Amino acid sequence: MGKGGLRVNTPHVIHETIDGEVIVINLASGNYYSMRGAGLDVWEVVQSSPGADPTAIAATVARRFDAPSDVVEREVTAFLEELRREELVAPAEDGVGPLAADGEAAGEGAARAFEPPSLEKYTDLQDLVLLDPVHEVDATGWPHRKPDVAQA
Amino acid sequence: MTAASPVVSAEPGFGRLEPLAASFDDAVRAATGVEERDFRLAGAVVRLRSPNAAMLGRLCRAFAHLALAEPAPQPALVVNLWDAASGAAPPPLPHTTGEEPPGAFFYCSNDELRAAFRLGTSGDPRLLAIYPDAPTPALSVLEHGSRQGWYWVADAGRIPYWEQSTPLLYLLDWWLRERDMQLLHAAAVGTPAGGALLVGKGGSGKSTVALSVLGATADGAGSELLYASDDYVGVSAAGAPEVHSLYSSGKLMQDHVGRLPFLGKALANADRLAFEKAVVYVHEHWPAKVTAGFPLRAIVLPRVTPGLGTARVHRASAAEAFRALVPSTVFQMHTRGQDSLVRARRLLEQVPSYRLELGSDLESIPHAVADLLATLEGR
Repeated sequence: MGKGGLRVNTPHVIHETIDGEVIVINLASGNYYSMRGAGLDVWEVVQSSPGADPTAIAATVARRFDAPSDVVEREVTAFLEELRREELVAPAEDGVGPLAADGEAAGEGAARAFEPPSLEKYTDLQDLVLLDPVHEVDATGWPHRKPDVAQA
Repeated sequence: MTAASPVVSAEPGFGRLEPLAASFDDAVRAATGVEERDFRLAGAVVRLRSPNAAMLGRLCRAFAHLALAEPAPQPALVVNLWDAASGAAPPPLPHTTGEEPPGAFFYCSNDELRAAFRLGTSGDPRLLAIYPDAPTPALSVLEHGSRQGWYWVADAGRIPYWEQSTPLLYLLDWWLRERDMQLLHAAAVGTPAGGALLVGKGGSGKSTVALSVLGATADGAGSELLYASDDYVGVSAAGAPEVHSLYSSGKLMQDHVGRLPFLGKALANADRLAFEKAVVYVHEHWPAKVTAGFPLRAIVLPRVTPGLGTARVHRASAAEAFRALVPSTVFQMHTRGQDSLVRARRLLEQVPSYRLELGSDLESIPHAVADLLATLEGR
């Protein structure tokens, strides 16, 4: 991963946290995602500190957990790379920015047991994006052919 | 905004009200008059009016269960419907390159209005010979403030069946949002005391569950549950959530019709099942089984469960319900943003969610939903 800062890839990406999960929707690809474990912390830091450097994000998240910092930072760095591959985060236009104050402060609370960040990807609705608003379409984006004509 | 489908800059006239109104007025002058029909949608009067009686009839059919017997003095929303067959100059449309697919979606939002244009195809007979269901170009516009809407199509005779069964979807989505409601991709069944939203992507069993309430039960009495929707529904966001029926239509995959044989007599397109989903206008055959809405008591996630006999219910997490409901709604409505996720999250935090496992015993499905609702209502 490069050394530039990261931001949530708006406006292509929208997201909401509910019941211990972050659900992220990529409007451009038609994929959606569920983040769990330390993924919630990573997402919260990226969201609250647009432009933060991946190294700083990893260090901030590591301070929240009762686990060796190098282990957490390695997991977080790999997770950020995955988020970037899925285009859920993007390079910040303004380069590297500071961590938000609450992002720093969050590391000062009681450390929790570390649950590695996870990203579950759902691709089952891609067709709605690739072919919509015509829902009943075939793979070429056209409505169903008449079988007799299609076979002619 | 959305980046879901091709969205391009539109020509200036595409986003202005005056040329749109001028096109509609031209169509009215060219016709013998304007027909109007009033409906009560989500608690407010909506008037549909058109110089093309056939177009008006096609687009009103799915709303018929909400029709008002007498014209209302002051509708909250007036939607003007017309097509190019009138001979009037068409309204301003987006520039296109000629290379976009017919499903291409163009969206414009400015200080005056929201507008969406589905490119469709112009009606080239060579194309239609191969693709009989190719949609006609369609433009939907809603003025901010929700007083007027416009829906124009190139050819009212080629409005596709899915649009006839759930008409004016984008307009209603925008209008409901302005009224602090949300349009959701969900089915809904219930009683006047309360009901359930059935959520999940296409093929999850929403329609099967919703339409199953129309069947006779073993004792011949039928389910107490009423039908509100099988695909799209309005839900009020303020206060205690209420479900608002929008369409009385139901759509089923062709191969699922056999599982609900009582629908056979009611299919609106029995002669076109090779190309179309089976469509039923529920109020035309079961008028007493259709409801305008009810208080929302539960979110239910149907799931076809191979090997299971009797349907059964388990508690589900709000996150699971969110995944089942929100992405499919966002992707189908095209113009959703972060705010709609916040509204959906608030709704799902208010109302408990359940997984409904569907087995081979279809008669047990409405019983399972009714029992759940009775438990939640303390009956």
